[in-house]
Amino acid sequence: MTEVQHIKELNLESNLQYQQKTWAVQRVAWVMLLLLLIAGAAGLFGDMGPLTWGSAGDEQGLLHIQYHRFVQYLAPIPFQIQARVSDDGGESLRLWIDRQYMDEFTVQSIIPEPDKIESTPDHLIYEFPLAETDGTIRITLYVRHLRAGLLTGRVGLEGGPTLEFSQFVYP
Amino acid sequence: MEAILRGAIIYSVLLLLFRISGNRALSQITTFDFVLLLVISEATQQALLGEDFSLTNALLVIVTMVLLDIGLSLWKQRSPQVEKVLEGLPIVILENGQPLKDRMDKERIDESDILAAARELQGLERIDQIKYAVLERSGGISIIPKEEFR
Repeated sequence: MTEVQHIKELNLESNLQYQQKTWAVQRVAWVMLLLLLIAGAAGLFGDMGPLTWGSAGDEQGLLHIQYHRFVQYLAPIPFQIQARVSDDGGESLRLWIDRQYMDEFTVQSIIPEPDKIESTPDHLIYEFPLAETDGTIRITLYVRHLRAGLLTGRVGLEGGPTLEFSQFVYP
Repeated sequence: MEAILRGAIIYSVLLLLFRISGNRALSQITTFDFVLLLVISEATQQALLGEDFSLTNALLVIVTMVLLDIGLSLWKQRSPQVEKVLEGLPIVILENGQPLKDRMDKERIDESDILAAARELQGLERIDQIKYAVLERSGGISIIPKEEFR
């Protein structure tokens, strides 16, 4: 009954049972923090890690995209698109991105720069010249997401394949 | 709205993290602990203000945190239970010259920590001169010497 004695002598509320509970909770919480860190290192919270990149492509290999599955709010990230015109294609490649998806981020830069940008109610269309390529072009968009939450994006080639993908944006 | 949310979230997360790390952690025992605290505040600042460096935003964040702090202190005053959960309890770690090893281990304290506090606060030299050592909620160790060494 040492606890009672403490209270008398030191005028101190000591509760060993509660303290032991606290210690147990603290140790469980430490493990949880460690797991959180491991998940973070794997790329689950945006940033870089093995889980970062997702990719999608169509069957004919005309369009292939690489995107970040997990994104942090306002952090600049790349979005990579590799596109090829079909053999009967023309002088330029017309790539469209879903308008609704485009509203969720700002595009900081596009490499290479498109020749022309067109806007329709549903799509934003980028036109790239193909003159000095073998018909394949690699495009990188650097974007910053403006809204947290789950996003679904669609990109496609005019008259060609469409790809759909999702991203999660952390606040 | 966003500034208020940011302030509230950071306040709660920090409160939780520091509670998890225990009474003793980061109680400025060493210079490095102090530096660590500064670095943490620097990292927090970014998340608090976001991209908005306006005076309004800063004021909103500060008001949010101060108000939360006042609110919590009022709540703690009314309910000892809440105080216990948020701040923990003081714990006796040495009794009549005998260190209570299991409690000290759980709180990551060793005899040298108690001796350091004994020297600093009471000018004592040995463990057996101490009647009680208490780990306070602040993370500091308070020392009560035996009668004959007072």
